[in-house]
Amino acid sequence: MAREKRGQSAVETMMVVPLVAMGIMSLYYLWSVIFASENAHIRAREYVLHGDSYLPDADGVSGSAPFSGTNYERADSQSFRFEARATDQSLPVFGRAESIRTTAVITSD
Amino acid sequence: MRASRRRGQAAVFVALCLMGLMLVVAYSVNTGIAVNDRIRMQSTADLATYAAAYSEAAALNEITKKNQAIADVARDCRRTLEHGGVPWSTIPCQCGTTDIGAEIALMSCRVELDVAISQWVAAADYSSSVEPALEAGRATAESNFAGTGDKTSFMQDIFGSPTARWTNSTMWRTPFYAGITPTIADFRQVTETAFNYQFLNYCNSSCVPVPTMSATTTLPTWFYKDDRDPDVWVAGRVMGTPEKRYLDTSYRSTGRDGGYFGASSTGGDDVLVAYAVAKPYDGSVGPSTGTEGNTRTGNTRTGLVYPSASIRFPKLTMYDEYRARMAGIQDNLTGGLAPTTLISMDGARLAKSWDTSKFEH
Repeated sequence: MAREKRGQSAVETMMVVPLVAMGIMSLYYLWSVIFASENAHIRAREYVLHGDSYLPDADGVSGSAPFSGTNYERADSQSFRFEARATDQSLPVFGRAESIRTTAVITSD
Repeated sequence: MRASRRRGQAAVFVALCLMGLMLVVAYSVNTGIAVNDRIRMQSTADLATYAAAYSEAAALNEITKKNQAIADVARDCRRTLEHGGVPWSTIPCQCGTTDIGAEIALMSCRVELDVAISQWVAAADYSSSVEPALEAGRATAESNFAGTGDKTSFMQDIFGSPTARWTNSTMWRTPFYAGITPTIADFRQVTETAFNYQFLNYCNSSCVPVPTMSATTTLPTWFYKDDRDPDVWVAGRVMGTPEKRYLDTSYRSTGRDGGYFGASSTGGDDVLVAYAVAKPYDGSVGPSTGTEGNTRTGNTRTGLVYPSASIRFPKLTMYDEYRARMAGIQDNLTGGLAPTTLISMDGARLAKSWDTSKFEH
């Protein structure tokens, strides 16, 4: 009987460890996706407010903003639309990375 | 016998571990989504109030242009009355206190000023200044976070808020012109801009003209504010129900379950709320320096209207340079009220507490 039980713990551990590892990896992956999404939203918002003057990590950010580099532009018309798009990439897990794209808008319409 | 009892022990252990792990994963995802939505909602509030402030800035620039037009009319009127430095003289050998030609010119000025003033009033009215601004804010909220447009408030229904329609108090808004009450700011109108002229009077028996000054006619003209514009800003409250992509671990069917980050919840609807403040700045609708008696009225002389070079026209201090920027809310509030409490309060309590000095401009 004792011989039959030899190695049982090892087998159980081998079964559980991958599951736990997968759980942790999943958690990390989801955190990464959510973080990328938050980052994209914040960057889009900052860009649509501050335009090119928002320089930190401006890759993947584009659009128009009511900022001309030194000051906010004079408000010309009651019909306006400023729009910024930001892209952020989650950290790759299981060989896969999510690309998050968001848009921030300031509009009168 | 003992060994057979222990069979399956690992399976139970694994099942428990997995369940715990799944709970941790679910809760983490839940929190992540909630944080993400919270950031989206704050961005939406920021952008919505900015849009409203930008629209108000555009309206203020338009109002300033109308004010400049009034000043232009007044300047042209004065130049006309100056008559090139030559006294008015239309009917020789007549004695009187006025000159017909100059009076006709003055009447024309009055009509032109009335038209320019009515255009100013139309531009400053709530429906063409504040209302479009609030619509822009709502449109921006909806564009950034679907479903929030209708639930976006700019305190427009709260007495004392800069975005509220004028009700029955002169505390914030001054009724000043023919019962029409612009509400984007507390404007005042210059009502005593002086116009006079020099004419040839023949009040003597020998029919010799004597240069005489007419009586001064005062007409209402342009507008100004007592200070730059601390009372023009937008406080926004954006509310929304994010998509049900998360696990509502504190859900109660009766509501008030705490919901997202302690926000109120009724029934199954968890509602996110975010606040922001923005304001127009850097322009000047009307003269911002001087006193009522001289610079603001454009009357640096009380007598002869010419030469015009000596008359300081307030247009020089009307800058249609309004922009918009985000503003902060000071934490150091009286009564220990949190900023969000302050701007979410309503009714009489807010009226007492509404103090623009609490807002960073």
